[in-house]
Parts: sequence; C-alpha cells; structure tokens
Amino acid sequence: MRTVTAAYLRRDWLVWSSYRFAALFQIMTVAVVVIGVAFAGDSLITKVSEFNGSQDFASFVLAGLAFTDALFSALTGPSRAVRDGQTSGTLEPVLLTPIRTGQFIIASSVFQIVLSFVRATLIVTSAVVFLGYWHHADVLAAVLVFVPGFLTLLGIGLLSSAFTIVVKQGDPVVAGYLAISGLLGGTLIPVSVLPAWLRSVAELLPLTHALRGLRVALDGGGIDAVAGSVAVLTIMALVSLPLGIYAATAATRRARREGSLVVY
Amino acid sequence: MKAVDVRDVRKSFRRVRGLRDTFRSSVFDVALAGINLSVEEGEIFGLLGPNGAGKTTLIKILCGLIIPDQGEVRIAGLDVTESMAARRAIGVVYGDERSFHWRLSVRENLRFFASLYRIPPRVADTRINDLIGLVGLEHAADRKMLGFSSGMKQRASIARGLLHDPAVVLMDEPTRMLDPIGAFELHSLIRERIAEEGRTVLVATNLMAEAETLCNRLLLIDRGRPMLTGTVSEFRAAFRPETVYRFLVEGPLGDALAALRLLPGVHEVRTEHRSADAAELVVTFDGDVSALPAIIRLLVDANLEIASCLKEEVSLDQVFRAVVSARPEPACVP
Repeated sequence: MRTVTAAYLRRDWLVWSSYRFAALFQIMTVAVVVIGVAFAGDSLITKVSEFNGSQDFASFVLAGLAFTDALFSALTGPSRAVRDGQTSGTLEPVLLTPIRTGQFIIASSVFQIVLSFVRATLIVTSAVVFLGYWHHADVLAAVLVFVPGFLTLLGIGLLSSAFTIVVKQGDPVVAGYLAISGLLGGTLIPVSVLPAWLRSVAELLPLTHALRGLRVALDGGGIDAVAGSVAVLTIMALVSLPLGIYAATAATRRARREGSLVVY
Repeated sequence: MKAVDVRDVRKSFRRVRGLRDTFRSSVFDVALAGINLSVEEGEIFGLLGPNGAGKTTLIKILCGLIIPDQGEVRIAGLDVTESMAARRAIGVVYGDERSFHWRLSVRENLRFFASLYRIPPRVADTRINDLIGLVGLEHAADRKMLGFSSGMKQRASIARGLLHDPAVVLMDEPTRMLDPIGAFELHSLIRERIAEEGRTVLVATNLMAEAETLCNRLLLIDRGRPMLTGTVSEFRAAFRPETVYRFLVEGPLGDALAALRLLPGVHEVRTEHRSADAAELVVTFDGDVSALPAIIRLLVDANLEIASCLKEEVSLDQVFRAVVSARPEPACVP
C-alpha cells in the first residue's frame, strides 16, 4: 500500500505543480480566507453572541472552514479520484495493474487529502501566529476528535465512490451530504442558533460532532471535554467505514460484470 | 500450458436507454456468443472482426476488466477474474490515445505504472530506459506528453504494455492512430522484438493486411460469434478451395484453350482482357496443380509468348467481406 500511495502522491504532485497558476491561487486563497474572516469578525459581526465558547466570530469560522475542508476531503476525494480516472482515460490501465480497487481509490485520494490538511494547517497556524487564537489548544484532544471524524467521512466518501462507479454522475451521497452539512454542520453557523428540529437533524451529522469537539479542543478543553464527540464519531466510523469498503468493492464487481467500469 | 485459453465465453450487455424507458423491462445485446480460443506460447494471434464484432469486449474479458456471463478465461494458466497474479502475466497496448497522464513525461508515466506493478525503483529505471530505447522515444522521454503525436503516444503505450515483462501482450487495434510508416515500424517491432522474446501476442484488428503481415493464426468474429479460425492459408482455402493461375500470353490462341481444358486437374479455363494479339488466361485447378508444367509446355508449343504467370492469392479482405456479408441478424435478449 505504501508503494502505491507514494506513487500516487508523486504523480499528483507532478500534475498539481504543473498547473502553476492554480497552485499559487490555492495558496493565496488561504491568506484571503484568514484576512477576510478576521476583518469581517472585527468590524462587522462581533455582536453575534452564539459561538459555542469560541473567542469570537473569526475564530469560530476559521476553525469551521479549516476543519470542514480537511474533513470533506475524505468525503469528496474518493469519488473525485474515480471520476478523474474515468474521464481522463487513465482508470483502465491502472485497473490492469495488480492493485485492488480499494487501494486505488484511497491511494488516488491521498494527495487531495494531504493538500486539504496543508490548507487547514496554514489557516490554523495563521490564526495562532497572527490573530492570537488557540494558544491553549489541546492538540492531542483535537487529534482524537479528528481521526474518527475523518474515518467516518472517508467511509461515506467510499460509499459515494461506489455510486460514481455504478451510476457515473448524479452521486446523491456527496451532493446531499455536502448540502445538508454545509448548512447544518456548524461550519459557519453555530448549531445552537438553529431551530430545535434542525438541531436534531444536525446531531445526526458527523461534521457537527467533529467541529464541536475540535473547537472545544482548540479552546483548551482536554480529553474529558471531547470524550462525547470522540465516542459518537468512533461509533459512526465503525459503521460507515466497513459499509463504504463493502459498497466500493461490490460496485466494482458489478461494474466489471456490466462492462461499465471505465465508462463515464 | 496454453498462453491464452478461452472456453465458451458469453457476454451480453444491458442496452443503455433514455429516461422514458426507465420502467420498461431491460433489453440485453449479445456481445459474445460462445467464443473458444486457444493460443500457444510465443504465437502471434489475430482477432479479426468488423467494428462492433466484440473484439474489444473479448480483450477486456481477457485482461479481467469485464467479467463474462459464462465461460472460463485463463492466461498463462491463471483465472483472470480471480487472480491478481494473472494481471502480472498480461500487458495491454491500446489504440486509444487517452490512457496517459499528459502533464507528465513518458518516463514519469512509466515510473508511476512501474510502482503499481511493485517493480523496485532501480530495476524499473533500467527497464524504462531499455523500453524507451526499444520504442524509439529517447529524444522525448523527459518531455511532457501534452505535445506528443499519435504515433509517439502509441509507442509509449507499447512501452507501458511491456513494462512488467508480461508473458502475454494484448493489443487492441494498435495501429489505429498510426500513419503507414508508423504502422510498418510497429509491425516490425512486434515481429522482431516483442515476439522474438518468446512472448505471446494477441492483436485485435479490423485491418486484414495487418493480420496477414503479423499473425500465425486468426479468429474472425462477427456480432460476437466465431465465424472462422485457422492460419492465413486456411482462411484462403476456406474462402476458395481451388487454385487459380493467371497467364498473360501474346499471340493467337488458336486451339490452345480447348487443349488446356483437357489437361488433368484443370477445372476451368477462361480468358479476360482478350485482344487480337494478347489475352489473359485464367486457369482454375481443382487443387492439384501438377498440370502446371504441361500448361506452360502447351502454350509454348502453340507459339504463344508467356509474358507473365501469376498465382492468384485470395486476400484476407475478400475472405472478410465474404464472411461479414453473410452476417446473421443482431441478437438481443429481452
């Protein structure tokens, strides 16, 4: 797996860095997000009071954006990798090599995931260094929340890739989940300000628990304070990851039988 | 052990239909209907057929990308639908240009695929250098493939197909994108380098000249059905069992025609392009051509000058057209 992942990382780095403007633009976007959110927080929205214990609007939104990006990379990466392979024509020669479909899907998602981690790290580091946020963050607690949250979304991402393999377009998993999570997961709007019935829906979303736990950890809450989020996310991961692996494997077999594996 | 062993492979595909047919029952088109194929080690085997015959489907089944509905496929003794080891025994060369990362160089592309085959980096680098030399891409090995011509991409595809040193190489219309010179060079490469190393090569093509130039044996399929199998000469014999010679003679024919018809083994004698002082004699033998010296003697004795004497070969194109024009109706299963 390491050899295959390293091969994909190297390939994707070469491709990504060959689009020089896009690469530069992505790095600049991080700076624009940090400066823009800090400015908006300082001058416009400081009076909004519900930010789940975070210091202010800017820290709430920056944490939301950074970690939603990193977590969603697990959700969108697998189906995007399959789709890119289908449309570029490179999926077929890859599937002729002795690697399993799961290996291919995960290894080909790694670069986008790493890239999102780099963006998240840049946002968090900028917030710590330039804006003075999260000096008392409990990194271990944050990692304990992030890992099961990431694995839960990776499971859903694999499920989504199964749809891409079978139906090619119109994957309902990513489209539906992104829409609902974007609104209700607590990226930009605190869950606590939502109407009661929407709060119940939000509690079903892994993103809600992940962002809640991560914000608590960033604000210095220890392992005890994030234990609830970690427990919920671990249960979700134990369900979604095997389901996602099974779905991707079954979808690949079905596509091989239908002869549609590399059709797009 | 057979290099390629295919037994009674059948495959149907569900027909892709529009939104308004969503609630109608599915219709399946028969892509392959009972294909049997056996290729010996080191053989160059041709898979012939018109567009839509099922060649690409069969190639994809042979390399494990499609699972057949029925039948068994073994490559180098390994079941391709179950065995990862079978994938190491198979190299595939496409006629399709779109199978590389165009923003990478050939060398980078080959390194990527070498990693997927778990070839150690040092071994891979040596192998890649050898293959780049073999396909004549030394001058462009480190250039991004964006600006490559069709021929260069095809050469790169050959290098990739041989990267992991496979025992069996499957080629799907390998000269589709090549000009005549490129096609000639590729044929030489297949005959003199790839097959010479003892590999088995299976070439799917609808170019009869290509099949004739390259292949030891052939299978002609049409609409998924096996139509004819054998060597090139067996194909010709199946199309026309008799042998035909054409004599261009100068001088008055006189009674020569009647005398020729009496010779043993001569089935038919007719003239074409006849003029006052020349004619083309078309002599059809039943199969036994032992009367050929007697014919020549007879023509000389009749004071006719033999300007040329040619054996008329049946081209594979003729065989192809004859078989395909007698094609059955397409099959579909509700």
